[in-house]
Amino acid sequence: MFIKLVLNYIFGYLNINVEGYFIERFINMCRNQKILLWGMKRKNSSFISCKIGIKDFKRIRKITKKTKCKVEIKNKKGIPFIFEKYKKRKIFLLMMCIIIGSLIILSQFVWNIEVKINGSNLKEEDIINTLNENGLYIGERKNNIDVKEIINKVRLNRSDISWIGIEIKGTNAIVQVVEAEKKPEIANEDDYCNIVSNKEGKILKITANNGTAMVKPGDVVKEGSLLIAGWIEGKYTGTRFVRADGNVEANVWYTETGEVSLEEKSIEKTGNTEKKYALKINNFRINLYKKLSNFEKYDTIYTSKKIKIFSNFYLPVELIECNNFEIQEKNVKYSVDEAKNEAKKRAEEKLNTQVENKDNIKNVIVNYEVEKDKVKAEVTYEVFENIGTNEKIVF
Amino acid sequence: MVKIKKNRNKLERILEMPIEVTTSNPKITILGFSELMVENYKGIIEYEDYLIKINTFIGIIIVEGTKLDLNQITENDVVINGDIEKLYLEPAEED
Repeated sequence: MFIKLVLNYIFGYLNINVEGYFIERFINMCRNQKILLWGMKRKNSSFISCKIGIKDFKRIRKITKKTKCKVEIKNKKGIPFIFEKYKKRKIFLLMMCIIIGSLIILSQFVWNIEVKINGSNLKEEDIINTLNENGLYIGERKNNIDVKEIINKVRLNRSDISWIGIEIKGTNAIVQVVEAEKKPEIANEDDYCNIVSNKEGKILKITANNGTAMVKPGDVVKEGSLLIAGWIEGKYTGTRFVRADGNVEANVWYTETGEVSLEEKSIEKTGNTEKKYALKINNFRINLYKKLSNFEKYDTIYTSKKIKIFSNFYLPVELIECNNFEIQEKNVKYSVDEAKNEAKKRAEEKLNTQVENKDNIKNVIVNYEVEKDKVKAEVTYEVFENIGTNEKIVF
Repeated sequence: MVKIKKNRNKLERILEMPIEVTTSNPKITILGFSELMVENYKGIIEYEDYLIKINTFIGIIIVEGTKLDLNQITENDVVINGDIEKLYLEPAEED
């Protein structure tokens, strides 16, 4: 019975209303002719509703004539009628075909390159550039990509990559890169070298393992001045050239100045934000907003997202989010002491980027210079460092 | 016309063939208070919301209740759904 109902759903069935005074006869005649009726409900004394298969409905006409019943179709159900419905909606069907077709076509291309870097010195943009040069770029057909060949090319081109793996998932190419450890430069042992200062400073200690020391502790050296010379003068042997080797310790000075005027304009965020969206297809940008910003002065930060359908199916459409942050300009008045502090802070910020190791800072010297409307601070760090680089002797 | 047969013959009795298959006796199954199935029936005499009369080869089955639906009608069986309250059996008068 259940199978019959399922079959009837597949071939289609009708909800019909039967009206007449000899409904029992109608039911019995249906039974005799092996017509299946189900879900029969009595509405009132001369009216029933039931369901009937689509093929049996044609045979029912004779019975209705005999029993003088009226048959009315309430609705049609089943798979054939669903298809019938969509036959009329040609544009809908067309669009469905277009969408499915475009999905299939779009899935043939690479729309996103995701770079996972293992290492601190590699930059994502560089790697994407080299990948683009070697045949993996956004918009390339997946069939044309030969992963092994690209890997070989990239590894030949770049020496700072020790391993690279490319995996194409959907329209997303996942590139994993491992950075190669830099080999120390092996200087040619046969070359004759001097040791030359690369920073300005005051020599504290100099030990020459090979060669002759040219400066004494306490000397002030400039950049480029000779520290350990690559020759030895003997009484009997004459001048002999060697590869200079040694250790030079010095106090190096770093100075920076910071300036603060007593009345300054500073920029503050008020905390009000606006979000606006834009679509970007290739290089064509569609703004999804009409109005300009409500704020008078604001900063905008753009973040772009690639749209994807499934976890790895990227589309060639980017969604750009503009965040507008409202800003206010404020006039800030400094007293002289505050200005001094501020100027010192600014100078120190500049210095901190230059000095590598802060533990070696020995001395901090600050000089203030107060003028009419501004304060200058000159900060000098005295840092204990090893100076000296090898320089080839050119004859 | 189907030949009315009330009792099983000897062979069928020995083999324990089911009564509703071998004879023309109806089999009435009541499942809970809301479903009733009659196998081996002859026809429907009356069908109303509150009353259904089913003709069988040995008499008439009368079902009373409310919201009675004929859920399935096939050649061999009929299923009644609804709130069944009373069930009468009227044996046909034998000639």
